Amino acid sequence: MNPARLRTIVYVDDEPDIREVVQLSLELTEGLKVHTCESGELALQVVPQLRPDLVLLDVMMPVMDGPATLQRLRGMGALADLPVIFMTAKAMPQEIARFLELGAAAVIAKPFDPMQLGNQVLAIWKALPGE
Amino acid sequence: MSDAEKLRLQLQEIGTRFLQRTLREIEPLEEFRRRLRTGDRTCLAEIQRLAHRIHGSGAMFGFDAISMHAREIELLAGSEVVGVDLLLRLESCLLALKNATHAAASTRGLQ
Repeated sequence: MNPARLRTIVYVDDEPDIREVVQLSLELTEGLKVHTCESGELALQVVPQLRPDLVLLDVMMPVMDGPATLQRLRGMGALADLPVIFMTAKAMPQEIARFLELGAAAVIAKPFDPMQLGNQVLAIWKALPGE
Repeated sequence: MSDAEKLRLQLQEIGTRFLQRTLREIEPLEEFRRRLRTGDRTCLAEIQRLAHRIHGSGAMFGFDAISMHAREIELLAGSEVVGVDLLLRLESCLLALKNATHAAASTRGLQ
C-alpha cells in the first residue's frame, strides 16, 4: 500500500483529443497536476526535468512507442523505479502480461471512461508498494 | 456547477471538435483510396494512422459506429496483402465511416 499522495502525472500520447481528455479528467476529478507530451521522445526530455510521481504512457505511438519509451526511461538511473502505467486498446490478457513483464505497474484499457479515470489511476497508485 | 458537470460539458466540446476534424479527414482518406486503386501502396501507413486515431478517440467520445468502421479500416490498412478484395472492403468501410460521421455530426448541428 502506497502511503504517499499522488500529485503530479506526465501523460504521453500522440492523440491530441485523448491528451486533452486525460488532463481534464484527472485535474477536475482528482485535483492532480497533469503535464502532457505528444511523443515518447519528448517524454524523455520532460520526465527527467519534472520528476512526476507517475507516468501514463500510450502504447501505440509513431516513431517511439510506449514500450520503447519505458525502456529508455528505465535506462535513466534516477527514473528506474518511476511507476509507469500503460494505456492501450491492446488489453487482452496476454498483452497485459507482456506489458507487466516489461516493467509497467499496471495497464488501463482504452477506451476509458473519463468520469472514472481518476478513480482507476488512484486505485493503482494506492496499490503500489510504498517507498 | 460541479467539477463533474464541468468535465461533462468540456468532453462534449472536445467530442464536437473531434467530429469536425473527422469530417475534414474523410476527404484525405478517400484520396488515399484513389491512390491505392492506381497501385500506390505508400499511403497504407497513413490510412492506418488516421484510422487508428479516429477509432480510439471515437470510442472515447461514445461515437461507437464511427469507431467501429475506423477500426475496420485500420485493420484492412495493416493487411500484408493488398488485392482487389481488400480495396473493395476498404471502399465499403470508408463509405460507412463517412455516413456514420455525417450522422453523428448532424445530431450536433454541424451540417
